[in-house]
Amino acid sequence: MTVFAPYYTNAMVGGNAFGSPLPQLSDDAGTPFAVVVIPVDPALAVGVNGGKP
Amino acid sequence: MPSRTLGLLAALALICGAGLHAQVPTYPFRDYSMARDAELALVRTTCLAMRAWSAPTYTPNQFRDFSYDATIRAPICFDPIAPRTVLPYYELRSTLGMAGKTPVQIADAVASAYATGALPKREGVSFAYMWSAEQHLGQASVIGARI
Repeated sequence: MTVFAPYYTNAMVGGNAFGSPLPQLSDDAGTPFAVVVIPVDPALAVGVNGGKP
Repeated sequence: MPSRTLGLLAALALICGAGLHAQVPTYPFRDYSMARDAELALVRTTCLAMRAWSAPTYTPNQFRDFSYDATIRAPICFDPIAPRTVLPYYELRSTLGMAGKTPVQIADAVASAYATGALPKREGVSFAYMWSAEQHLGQASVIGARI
């Protein structure tokens, strides 16, 4: 999941390391264009017919 | 990669949001594709396959050079707010990238556009998801920056 969170910094989402499985600031921290990435386990995906992909 | 294939990637990103009512506008940009008017269900979203020009404007510094990595394909679907507040930013970055601007020139132009109001103010949060097995995010995908 991608969250466009203006002016957010990595510390505001837990200070997690870049590339970790936890939420992190990926782009342009502290600017209007800051992007928070929340990694999601692909195993949780639901397929088109309701099953696993 | 043919533009038709990029459009297909955008459509696949859209389908990943099964249960959403999705709108994928067409684009005037050469080699920058979107699918069109795929309506699936209840919530309107917008999907496209972003290219390397969607790289960060400022940081991480090493990812700014992604701007000219022709291998990058980033299918993404925006929530109903992001097309109004975020998509113009990516449109501007793409226009500048296709004009051959450097990452520094792109950053300067983005800052100027935001300061003058040519880009909409980012006053709230919006969302997107990137969940395509066909995506390629360059070095960022190698280190798992975006899954």
